[in-house]
Amino acid sequence: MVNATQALNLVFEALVYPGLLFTIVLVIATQWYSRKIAGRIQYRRGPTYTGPAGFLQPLADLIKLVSKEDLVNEYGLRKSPVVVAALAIGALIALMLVTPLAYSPVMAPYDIIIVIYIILLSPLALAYLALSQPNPYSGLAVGRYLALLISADPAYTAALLTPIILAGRHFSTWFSLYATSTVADRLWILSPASFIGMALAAVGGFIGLLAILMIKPFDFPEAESELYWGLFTELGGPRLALAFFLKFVEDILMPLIYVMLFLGGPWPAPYSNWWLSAIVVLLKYWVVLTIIRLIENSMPRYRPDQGVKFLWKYLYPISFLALIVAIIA
Amino acid sequence: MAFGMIFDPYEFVALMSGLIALIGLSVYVVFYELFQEAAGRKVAEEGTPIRYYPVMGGWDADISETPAIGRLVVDILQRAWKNASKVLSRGAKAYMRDWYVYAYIVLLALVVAALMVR
Repeated sequence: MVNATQALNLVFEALVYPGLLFTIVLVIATQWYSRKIAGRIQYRRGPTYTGPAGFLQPLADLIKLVSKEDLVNEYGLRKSPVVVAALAIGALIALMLVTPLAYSPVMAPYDIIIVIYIILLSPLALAYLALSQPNPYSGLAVGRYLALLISADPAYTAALLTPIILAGRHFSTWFSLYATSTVADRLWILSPASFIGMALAAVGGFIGLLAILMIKPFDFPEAESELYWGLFTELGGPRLALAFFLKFVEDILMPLIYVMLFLGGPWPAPYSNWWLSAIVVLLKYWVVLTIIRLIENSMPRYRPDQGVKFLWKYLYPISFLALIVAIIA
Repeated sequence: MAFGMIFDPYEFVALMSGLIALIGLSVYVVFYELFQEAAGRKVAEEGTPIRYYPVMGGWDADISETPAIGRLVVDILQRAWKNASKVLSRGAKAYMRDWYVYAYIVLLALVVAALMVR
């Protein structure tokens, strides 16, 4: 059990660093950066008006949205979608405590199962938020989103489990996410078989990451040319702000987990030096974010059936082959 | 591994649930209730009759229809796997109505049960 000092420590971690406050700062920074990249690719300047170089524009957008009246039509659900979205945001931010960004990371044997379960809350909350007000376009988007998740999530989970199993078998890391990240660099050089497993899982994990985050070419649930704004069509004011907040935190957490498992975690920093580990992990995360944004702004979009077929045809074999290699290697 | 806080899985679940509730409540209070109280709810309620009605394309839509989500998912998967879904539906039509298929399934279940209780 936790004593009083540890409890205070956990509350500080949850609400300040690397929890709520730090995540808000990170959301502002990543959104500003993403919009600048999109602007550069589309021959625009991106945000310029609010703050130095437009850095505070995402914060201004957030404040504008949450200050609006919460308007719900007479057929819509009133409180529950807001509560569900807030809890889902809380779930993703709580997971920041199991990353090397935390100065006192939290871990447990087999915690990866719980982490995967908690990650799943966010798409469900997004779907619930979209369906909370009747709109045919939101309904179509949720159908597409669920088809995408069914086609991506199991294989993505298999890809995540590959380094966890390898580390658990060779380094006694108790199938824990944080503990695996401390040996993630060594998983690539254990043996030729482990290298093959890690390479396959890294490819599968990246494709799964793009699909789960609805990055092009897998953004058909929010295809604005067909479905207005997909999942976000009927949302406005504080509900849209919470949906965006949830999506943006997901955009931070999922690549962070990818960095922890496939890109060596805090390596070359010693994991016991938390601030150096945090800086290294953030730098690696920034590289992954840049690649994701470049892909997002330069790829066309799949039709739903094309996207789903691609995932079944390539992501599943790659990820499950990686998992089998990890089990028998 | 001595770095960080190590819990057993049950404590970890309880801890994460508590943290999720704490952060979720903070997000709800700060980003919803606080801003709504400070600004959102102060917007005057101008009682136009269509204020809370669904509006489609600028027109008041009396009841907005939502498509069947499950059917959509099945439709997308069927389009993705055209041949497989054809074979499956034909096979289901051709074989699954015959009594001996069910007899085979029962027989198989008996064999599995026999092996398990052996």
